Amino acid sequence: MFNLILKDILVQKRTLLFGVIFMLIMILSFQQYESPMFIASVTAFSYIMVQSSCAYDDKNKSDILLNSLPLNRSTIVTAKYISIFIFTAITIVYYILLTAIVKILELPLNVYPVSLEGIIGILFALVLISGIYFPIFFKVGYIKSKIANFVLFFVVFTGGGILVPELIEDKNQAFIQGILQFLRKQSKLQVIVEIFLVMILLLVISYALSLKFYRKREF
Amino acid sequence: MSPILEVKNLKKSFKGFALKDVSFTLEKGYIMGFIGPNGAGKSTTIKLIMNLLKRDDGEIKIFGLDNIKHEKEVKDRIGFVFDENYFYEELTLMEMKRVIAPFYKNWNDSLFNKYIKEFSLPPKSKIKELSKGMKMKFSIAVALSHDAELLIMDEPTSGLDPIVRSELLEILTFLIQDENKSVFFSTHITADLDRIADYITFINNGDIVFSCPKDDIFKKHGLVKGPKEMLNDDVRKYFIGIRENRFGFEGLTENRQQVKRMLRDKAIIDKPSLDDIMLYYARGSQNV
Repeated sequence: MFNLILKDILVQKRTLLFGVIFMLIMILSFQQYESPMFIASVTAFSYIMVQSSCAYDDKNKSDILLNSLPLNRSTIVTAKYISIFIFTAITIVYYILLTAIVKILELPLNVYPVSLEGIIGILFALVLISGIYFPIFFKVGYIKSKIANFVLFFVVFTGGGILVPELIEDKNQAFIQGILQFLRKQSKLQVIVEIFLVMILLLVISYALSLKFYRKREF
Repeated sequence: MSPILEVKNLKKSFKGFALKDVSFTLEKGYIMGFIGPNGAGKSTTIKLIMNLLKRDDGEIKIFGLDNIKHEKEVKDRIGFVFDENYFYEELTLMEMKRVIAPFYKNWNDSLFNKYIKEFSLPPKSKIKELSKGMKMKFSIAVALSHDAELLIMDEPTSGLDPIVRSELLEILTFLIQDENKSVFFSTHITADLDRIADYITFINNGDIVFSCPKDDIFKKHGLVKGPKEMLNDDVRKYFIGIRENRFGFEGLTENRQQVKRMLRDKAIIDKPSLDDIMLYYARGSQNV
């Protein structure tokens, strides 16, 4: 299985190079805000890597090669899910190195440190979008899944843009108040544990669907 | 001893094409050529054997084991070579090997390196930089480096020049000297099989026309040439296909002895090539 993840990294040598430039641009464009720099840049680039590994698989018609090797289809699916976390780790290392360089060279740029809350936010966002994306990818392949991916992105960004300010304004709404009350009562650790439980639940459902779809695929 | 590959009543339908009741058996130590026109069902059959397609009905046993129930074990003992390049083009030969090798229980690195040298492949080049012949050789090197007992090849010679094709056939001939190995080899370039195949399985339009030792085919079939007057209905029924022109006819019979008795020395009976056989069966009684 780990050689499949190694493959996903080896085919993306160019993407990895592009990543340095991408992360720099992200750091430059998030100068005036505080926290989103770390979350946004790492989430975006990790998801680019997830997408690009799927694209390379498709371009090389790898389903035929991989499914002719002595391995189970579940190995292929599992490797893709684990790769989300490997890509995130790589991207976080990128972020740490780049911000360190900015500090050492004393460049006139604002950089914001890595935080535990940030990492949890990134993981949650990535598990959510990949968790929706992967079952579609394993069912219909990369080309057709691109449409779904576009819709997903559109919904997350514009939907997020419209909904979040609404929610903040309507602080009186019982629902939001309820949630805030619920969270306020708990310790930080409890909240973190809850977030992880939701993530695991999402992963399990998404994985089960992906596996079910991929086992039925014909090439 | 169970046969190395046994396909029984295999069925699979698509829109506009169906594999109907395909059966054949390959014994250990032999090369079987799998021939048929384009679109006859060769690749479909091979994909069903590799479980890349799901069969509708029937049975496929490899090394006596069901190909789906024992998928991993079976594939560990199979070497495959496909008509196109399915390797990651962005990787170098060595990187690709590093990804593939750990999946096989009996991967033999020194054997692989020996083939790379023998085929003069550049180990540090990316796969997309290789010529078609080199990609095919790399594919063969991978297929031969894990002690596979059965080699499944889908049109390995298509698009290769005569020199590379000839090299490939030599490798196969050498390989088969080990009596534990067998080769299942689909192609529409039948000249390749004249040289190396022991058995021929002929598929046409989703049906197996015959599956038997190559020598039997040439013993039974005859390419008959003679004057038109001799073609009465009695004679015609012994022909699979007949081509007529102003001067005479040429036809393929499956019953060489009988036709010889009927026509005596008024007609010439030649040994048909596999191409002739494929052509007459595929076109049937229509004008060939």
